[in-house]
Amino acid sequence: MRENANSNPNLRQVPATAKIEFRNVMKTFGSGAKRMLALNRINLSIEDGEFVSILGESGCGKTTLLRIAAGLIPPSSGAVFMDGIAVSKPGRDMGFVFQQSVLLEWRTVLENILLPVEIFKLDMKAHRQKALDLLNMLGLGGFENHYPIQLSGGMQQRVSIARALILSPSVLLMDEPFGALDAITREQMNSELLRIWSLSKTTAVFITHDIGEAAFLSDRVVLLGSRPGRVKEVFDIPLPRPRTPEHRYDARFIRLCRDMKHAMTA
Amino acid sequence: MTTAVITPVEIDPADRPVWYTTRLGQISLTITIFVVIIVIWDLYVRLLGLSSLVLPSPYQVWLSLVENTLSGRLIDHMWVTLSEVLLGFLLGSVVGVALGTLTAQSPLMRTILGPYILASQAMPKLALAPIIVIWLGFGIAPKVVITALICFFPLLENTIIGLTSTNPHQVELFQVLTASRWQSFIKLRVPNALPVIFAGLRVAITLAVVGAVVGEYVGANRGLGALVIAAQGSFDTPLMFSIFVYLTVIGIVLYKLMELLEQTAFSWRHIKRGD
Repeated sequence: MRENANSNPNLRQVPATAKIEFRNVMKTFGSGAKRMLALNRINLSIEDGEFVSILGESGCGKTTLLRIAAGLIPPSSGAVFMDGIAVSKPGRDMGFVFQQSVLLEWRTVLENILLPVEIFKLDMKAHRQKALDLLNMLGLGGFENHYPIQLSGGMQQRVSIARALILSPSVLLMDEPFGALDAITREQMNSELLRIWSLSKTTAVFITHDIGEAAFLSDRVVLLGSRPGRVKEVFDIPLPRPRTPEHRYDARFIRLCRDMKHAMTA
Repeated sequence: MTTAVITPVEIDPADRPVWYTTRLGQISLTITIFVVIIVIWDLYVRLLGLSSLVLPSPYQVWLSLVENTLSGRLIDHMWVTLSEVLLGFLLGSVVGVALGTLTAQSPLMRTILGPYILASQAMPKLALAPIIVIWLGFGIAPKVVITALICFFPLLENTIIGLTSTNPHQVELFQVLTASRWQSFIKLRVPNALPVIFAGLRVAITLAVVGAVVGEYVGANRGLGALVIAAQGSFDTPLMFSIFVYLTVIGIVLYKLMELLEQTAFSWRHIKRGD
């Protein structure tokens, strides 16, 4: 997605400050009478190293927005720029975490994490140690030779995060990765994600419909409205980092959550 | 059993394992059923005074089985049948997997070839045996071909199903990783298809015995099927029953071997979720 950007006059350059920039992104599905506007003129810019959550109720187009950012589907009009270059297909510099862990059940944990290394034909030996380090960091040391079926849902999702981080991407895109987990596991995973994110220094885009999760994780929360999906409001989360579970009971945190809730239902 | 018991307590009789739920109990029940069937069979023959031409007693079958095994007659014919089974199974499976793989590559191909695949599935392959014998003579070749035909279809179908029913989330993962078509095939579609293909192999191996024996019925002078026809001609019903025993054992052994191979290949499928 980077190679021919400069030679192609159609791709406009944007100031280098924004890591990810959505510019007038629109998406329609279907045609004729069934034509549906899913996303309406999304403009959003995300700084390098920022953690941004995209919050919205189901059906607001937040997953579509993430897929466009990942280059999995093209926007109907507008474009997403990464490091100033329009995204047209997925790239190696991007890690993606799905709603489900999407592990290959015939591969061990370690083999699953190394899948991107295999696909991109990189040095397996060098990345093996990195995979083991990631597992340790995620509290899964010693599980490298287990099969996914032997792990709990939370552990499986951790493996998929390790897989997304194995090539040290500069952008980590997450599509409601903890949506299927129970509330307690989800809060643990939130803290773990923040820890590993602060170490990896990636730019994170996190899709969720959970207000508390969005507030706890993010530097900024982008609230999407429904039908058509559009940016309703952007909230700054001025809580200090590193964040601890205690922050969830902080008066500012609670006030922010209430404001977001009101904005969401308004 | 995990609770700490302070004073010794009588074990509730209801908590004790019932004898027929234990491994030993189950084995003895299985054997008992066998003995009962043999006894009923024997009584039936004795009480009705049936001629051994119609239904030999278990003992007569046993005598014939021992005699024809020791003389090497059954063993010789068994090797012929077994080689037809294995060659036909191999041929049919290889061609089935190969054509299945080709067909699975494009939906267009599946649409165009669909009716033919269905028609060839519906066509009883054994009905072709006489014409294949006319074409290929009375040697081993027509039996191998009939066996291959009968093994071919479960593998064609299972290969297509296995290669095309990939989890859409996993397909998307490979898209995100910008995997090539070949990489998706070899690292995703094939591993996904293998268990389904193995299920096809298990079906095929038992069908293969049927194919070889029917092939021999139609025209052969060697093999267990040919021996059945010969036994029929000489009114040697005990020998026929001995052959049925051989065929059953062949079927069971081949099936179990496939199962063993499958378990070794997919050890991950048999791991239970740990605590």
